[in-house]
Amino acid sequence: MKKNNKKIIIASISLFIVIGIIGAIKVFAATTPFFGTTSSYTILSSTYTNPVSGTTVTGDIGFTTPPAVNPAGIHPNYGSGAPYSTAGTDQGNLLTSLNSQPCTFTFANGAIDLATDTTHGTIGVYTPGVYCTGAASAASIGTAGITLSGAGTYIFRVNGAFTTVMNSVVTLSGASACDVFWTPTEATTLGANSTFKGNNIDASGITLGTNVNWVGRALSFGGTVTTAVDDVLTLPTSCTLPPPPPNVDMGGIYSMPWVTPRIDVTKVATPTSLPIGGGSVVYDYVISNPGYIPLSNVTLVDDKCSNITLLSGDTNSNSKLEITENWKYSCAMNLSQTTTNVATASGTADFTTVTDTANAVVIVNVPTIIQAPVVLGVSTTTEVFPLFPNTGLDPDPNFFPWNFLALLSVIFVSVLNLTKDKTTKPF
Amino acid sequence: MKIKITTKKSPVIISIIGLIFFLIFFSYIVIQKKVLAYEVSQDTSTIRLKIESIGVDALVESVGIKSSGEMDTPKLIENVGWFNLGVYPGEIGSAVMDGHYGWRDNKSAVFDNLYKVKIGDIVIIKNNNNVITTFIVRNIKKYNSLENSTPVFTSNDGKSHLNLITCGGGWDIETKNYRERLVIFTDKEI
Repeated sequence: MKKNNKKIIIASISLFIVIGIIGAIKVFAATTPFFGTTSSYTILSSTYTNPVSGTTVTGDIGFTTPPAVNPAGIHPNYGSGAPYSTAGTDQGNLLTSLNSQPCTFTFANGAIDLATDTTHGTIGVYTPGVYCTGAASAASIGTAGITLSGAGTYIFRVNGAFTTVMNSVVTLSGASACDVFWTPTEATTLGANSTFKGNNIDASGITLGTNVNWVGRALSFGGTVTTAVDDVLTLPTSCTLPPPPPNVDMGGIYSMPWVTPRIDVTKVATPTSLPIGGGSVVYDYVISNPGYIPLSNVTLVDDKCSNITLLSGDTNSNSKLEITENWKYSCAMNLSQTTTNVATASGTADFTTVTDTANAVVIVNVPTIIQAPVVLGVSTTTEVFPLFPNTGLDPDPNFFPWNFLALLSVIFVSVLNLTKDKTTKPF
Repeated sequence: MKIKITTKKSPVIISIIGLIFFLIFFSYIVIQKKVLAYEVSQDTSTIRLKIESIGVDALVESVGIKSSGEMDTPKLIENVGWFNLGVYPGEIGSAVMDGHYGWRDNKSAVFDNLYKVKIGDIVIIKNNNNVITTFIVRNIKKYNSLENSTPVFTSNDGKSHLNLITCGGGWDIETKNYRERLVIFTDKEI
């Protein structure tokens, strides 16, 4: 009897374990990852292109190469200032987290029109889940548009390019733009007059046609975001952003990464290019604290420029880098050749020292030799086009006008002689 | 009728004049020796460039390109340099020659008066076999010293050109360089 009971207990435990595992897989649902500092960015790019006025963007805009025309709207962070570089890192983490979630539905191989597909369920209607296209398969939203129905997270993992056609509409029915993600592996193009929702993470580039209305984020750190006239991009509001995921260390003890101190430094050189021979350059640095606790013992070291001066930033004069502060530094030096400087910022909190680095490259132009195509009729010899020759003779330091001086002397002496010491004698 | 006669100071005056002539003669000899000593060390050809309108009749040196990327210049200020990585004058394409501008050792450089050349002037190249090739000045243009020189060294019209370069503009003390380059564009006479 005891033996039977023992077997029953062991079998039951095994059954619970198996059911538990299978059950865990079955109940999997897509989740919205931690946004980090990307949460405030409506546009995050390396190059932001906006050739004409008429575009309105609400939310931060990050870039290193600015647009020809600044968009209208409110964007407290604009350009490459902090937390731009951190947001780029966070974008990568966000994408990694999204890609780690298994597909709940995979379309058949080949380009798929989400508006007309019926293989996933009701035509044009999608419920929360992870939708994946086949290998090397693009996706589009046709004219009929789609509806995202129900609260939850939507992940559209497109293994190719992603497009929306002109006048197409993404409608939210119980869903939130905060929880909709598009992760194409190739470029994204939104057609003119289309209405779009969600966060598009696409380092291959995101291009909007005219008059696009988009509630969400265009995240293309490392790529190009292009907007056109009458586009309106709005950061989703009332999002319940998830907290950072806990880390598990080797001892199985949970640590909370969001209380880990963080530091960020950016560095900009002015100018970034110098003429032949070089010249002076000024480096401007900004150190910020994207973490959650103030940093003390903040230092900034540049491996090339030694006279770094703190300009401003410690607004409460407590010598601690608060999370609301941006400490600005400057350093000037002369360069005679192309130089890459590395600035290293460090700070301490909770007995932990954190560092961040930023590079700046200043190009000192050098004479170039251009390899040109062979000129018509000339032999196959490669022609080389040099810079103009320096044919000018500098003013001769040894030059002395002896001839001229001699002539002047003769004339002077002759005139002197004839006017003062002459006598006349008749024949 | 009266005649002027020097009296007491005549020997002094004659001595001074003699000294002056001696100095002139001495300086001339010294300069000539320096030039001659320099000339004999150079490998000059017998190819000549002639521009009668400004009195230029110069030997042509072969020059290449400096490590700094600039076309090299002739060793002697009275010579011109032919860019030996390009075409030869008379061949199809743009041959290029340069010459110095300014003064040294009381001598003017070969292209000191190049700015006086006018459109329509004749430029002649006489090669080692005394074959003459004639070019006619078509255009005169000034460039910034760091400007793209490609138009001077290239052409794609299937014709022969000879382009002459020298310095111009103001002297920049810091860079020890004239700020401009004067370029004479010529076409081979057909």
